[in-house]
Amino acid sequence: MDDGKIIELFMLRDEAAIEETDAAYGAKLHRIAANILYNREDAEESVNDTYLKAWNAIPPQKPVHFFAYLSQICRRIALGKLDWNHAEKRSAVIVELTSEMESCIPDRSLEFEMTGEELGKLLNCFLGGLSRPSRVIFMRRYWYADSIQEIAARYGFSESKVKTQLHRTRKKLYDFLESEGVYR
Amino acid sequence: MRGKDLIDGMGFVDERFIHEADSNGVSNLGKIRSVGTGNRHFLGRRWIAAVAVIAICCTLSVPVLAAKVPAFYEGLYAISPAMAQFFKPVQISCEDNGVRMEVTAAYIHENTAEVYISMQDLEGSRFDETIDLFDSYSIKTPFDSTAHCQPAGYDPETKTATFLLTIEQWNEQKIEGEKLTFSVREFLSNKHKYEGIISDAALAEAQSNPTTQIVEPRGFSGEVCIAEDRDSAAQTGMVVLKAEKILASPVDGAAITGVGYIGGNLHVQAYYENIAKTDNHGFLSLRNKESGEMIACSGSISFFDEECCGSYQDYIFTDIPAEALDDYELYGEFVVSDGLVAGNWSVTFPLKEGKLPQ
Repeated sequence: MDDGKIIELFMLRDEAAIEETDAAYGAKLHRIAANILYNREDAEESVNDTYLKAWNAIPPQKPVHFFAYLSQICRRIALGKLDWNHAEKRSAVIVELTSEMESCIPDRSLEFEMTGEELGKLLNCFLGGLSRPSRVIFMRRYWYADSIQEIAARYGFSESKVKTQLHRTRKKLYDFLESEGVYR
Repeated sequence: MRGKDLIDGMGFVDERFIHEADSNGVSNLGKIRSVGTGNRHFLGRRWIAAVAVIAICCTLSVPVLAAKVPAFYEGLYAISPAMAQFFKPVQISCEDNGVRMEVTAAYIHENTAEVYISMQDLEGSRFDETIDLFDSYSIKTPFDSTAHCQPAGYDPETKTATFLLTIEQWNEQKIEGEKLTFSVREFLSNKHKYEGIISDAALAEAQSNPTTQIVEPRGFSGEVCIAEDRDSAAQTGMVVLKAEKILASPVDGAAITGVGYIGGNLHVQAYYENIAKTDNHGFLSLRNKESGEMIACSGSISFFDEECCGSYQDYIFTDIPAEALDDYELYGEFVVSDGLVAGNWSVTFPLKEGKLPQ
């Protein structure tokens, strides 16, 4: 069933909307949650919570990009379940991504605090200024939490090309954050 | 802000970017890559010839350029870190501005390297145990990695400071034999710390209608500042105290230059001299005279002086009414230094265990 019809079911408050959503996107959402969390049960719970949030939000909301909308919710829920304070309870992937992102933040003595929403606005400006291939590879790595190997396989690139591309984009993000006065 | 915050921030990016990354399969990116590849047969031969010529030129000139022309090395590193490091010649020690830098020992285990680097002052006493590379160092590796550098000791007899570099490769691959470049542009030392009550700054004399000014902040933090719209703050500026005189100078390089209420919040202003070359900085709190309770500020706004050399910082305290100010005293923590020493120090060495050959 296409996105338009699934959203129509949500609008009509037809519970089949959940089944159809799960059939269309359940596996992809599960993968996003599993990439972030360290166990299958938590990932499954995140996906179910995603359906519940979507059910409560549509209507009045009517998403334009349905999967992007769902995955946004799912990613936030999964990150919310993550125990940031205990390394052994964080997945290796998320530890790696956090450390990579850490290198993008200019180091200064001045502490700078921003909300996730404010950072999101800045990141939108940054992403909008990137070339499409750079942006897509960056999103696959830091939004979908794909591994280097997965990105290379997905686009038919060598792993070193993906690494080089990400290295350059991270450098650009460092410069961008510095120009915006955002520090560690 | 930490890496975690950026990961969280990614959760708020526009849905069209998420959609684009999800729908862009091999074919779409492939099209981007193959634009302009018409008449492949004819162009193919020319490409092969061009690549062959470039390869010969590179083989002959790249090592020389990488060694002698920093801009070439930096450019090559941006394109291919592995190639840049391959062509960079080994140099275990170097000397500039009377300071000798040397790789002294390394410990390699799996994907992690720990390397000790010493810096010795050959001419004077510009070092002490407070030496700090002032974020001016860079670590270049041929592989993706996380790396950091921390002070590991200071020997006053030989005037030698030692630093520990820790480099961790991301993909859990062994890194022994790979080449690494460590460079330093400047360092700070002889730092002094002051911490205590600033008795000269009479909080009770805080002005209810102080002279204020609107400034373009160089940074701000804390909920009291974040509550303001960030974009409009950057465009229209933020309201802070206007410094009129020095109220107290607890340590050379830092001073209290104003106390007053703006919009019902107490602002206490400090001034730090020549921050770009001294990294002078500090923190102000209020201490309850009776209970000893420390009240941290709810936010701060910093901005450059007219010469863009020193920095003012307004520390903002909420919920401290003027009538209650008598109950508090100002508590400051400051770190100031004599200034930085600049130079051009760079070593390149293969990652292998033990003491490296000179």
